[in-house]
Amino acid sequence: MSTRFSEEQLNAFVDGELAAAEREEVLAASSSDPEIAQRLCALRAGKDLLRHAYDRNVLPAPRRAPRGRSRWTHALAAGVLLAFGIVVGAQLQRVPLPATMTLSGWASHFFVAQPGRILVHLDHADPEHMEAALDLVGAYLEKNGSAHVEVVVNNRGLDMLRADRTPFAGRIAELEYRYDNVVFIACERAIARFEQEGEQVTILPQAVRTRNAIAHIAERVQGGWTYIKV
Amino acid sequence: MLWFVSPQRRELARRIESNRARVFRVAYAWCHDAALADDLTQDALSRGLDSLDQLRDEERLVGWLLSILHRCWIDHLRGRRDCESEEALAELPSDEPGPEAHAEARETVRQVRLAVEALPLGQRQVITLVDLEELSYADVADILGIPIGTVMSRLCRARGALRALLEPARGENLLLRRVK
Repeated sequence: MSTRFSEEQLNAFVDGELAAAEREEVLAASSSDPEIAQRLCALRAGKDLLRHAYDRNVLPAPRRAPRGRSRWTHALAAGVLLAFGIVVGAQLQRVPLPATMTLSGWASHFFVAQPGRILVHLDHADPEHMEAALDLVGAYLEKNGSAHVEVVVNNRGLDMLRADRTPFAGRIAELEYRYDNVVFIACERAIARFEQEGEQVTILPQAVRTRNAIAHIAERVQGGWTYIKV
Repeated sequence: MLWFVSPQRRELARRIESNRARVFRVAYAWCHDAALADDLTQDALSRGLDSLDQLRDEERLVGWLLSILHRCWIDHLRGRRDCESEEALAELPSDEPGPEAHAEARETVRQVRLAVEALPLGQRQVITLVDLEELSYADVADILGIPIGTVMSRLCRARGALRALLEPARGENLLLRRVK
């Protein structure tokens, strides 16, 4: 069995994502090694199949007709109506709520509990706490693999996602690989602050960034996520 | 507020509308529900129109619309608890293909779509963006807000899973047979 190229490399090859030199290598190997050629064939065939399954000819057509009038025409009309209303007097009917959001819908939007969504927050660099956070995430996802979990770090907690400092790079990579819905998030403000202080900050490749961790957490909590501070 | 609509803006609005079928196809591949895909598409295009000011590079209009679609989809999943789990989504009815497809093709289409439905959401999104929209890994990473490494690993797993799901059902040579 040929293990010269990883599955990811062969995928990148059929997607045209390899650099020229690497592409040449795969190409050369595929002409001499039937197994590689076969793997590439299977990958291309898979792409064809998928495209076929969602071909325009077998897809339901979008039903809704295009809007006759654009959004700003409506805005304009609304503006004119509003001006008219102000001129006519104060005792006009109440402006109706947008049809898509009734008041009760709006309220339940904020109070609905969503146990499948947890956010774990770490803001200091204690390795024991980092480990506890990862244990928690791992245990939770093991029970509930489709849950959405975010691990957000700021201040010195950033160390957990710093390639140059974290003791847990391997565990983080493994969690990220095993579960689609776990996201490690580093605070950009914290990164900027440490960089200003002259540190060279390298973030793990599995991590994404958020502009402001606190704002992000606030948004999640408002969206019904369960918040856990480690 | 908007008393004056510039020709450039009107042209962009037209281009947004002209991408409806394309956005719809991606939405449909994600949710497998024609009515929902319609709503998501409508929502994404409207949001796009409302936030045209945020479009930095007109050349990237499609990627930008798809990233808005992604947010609409996430919002939808958050807002509807009954649709929240992958299992629930996998049970959404898939539409039958149009009459122009003959029976055998219809069967293939059905099987592929069923296999796609069985993928976890994240994998489904990545593989449809790469294979249907033929976007680069970097663009997909941008649209979904995930690292490129995650795009690659999800893609790998998605294709592996599709292969495993489709091969036993369709006879082991099906995939090879389809290659020209």
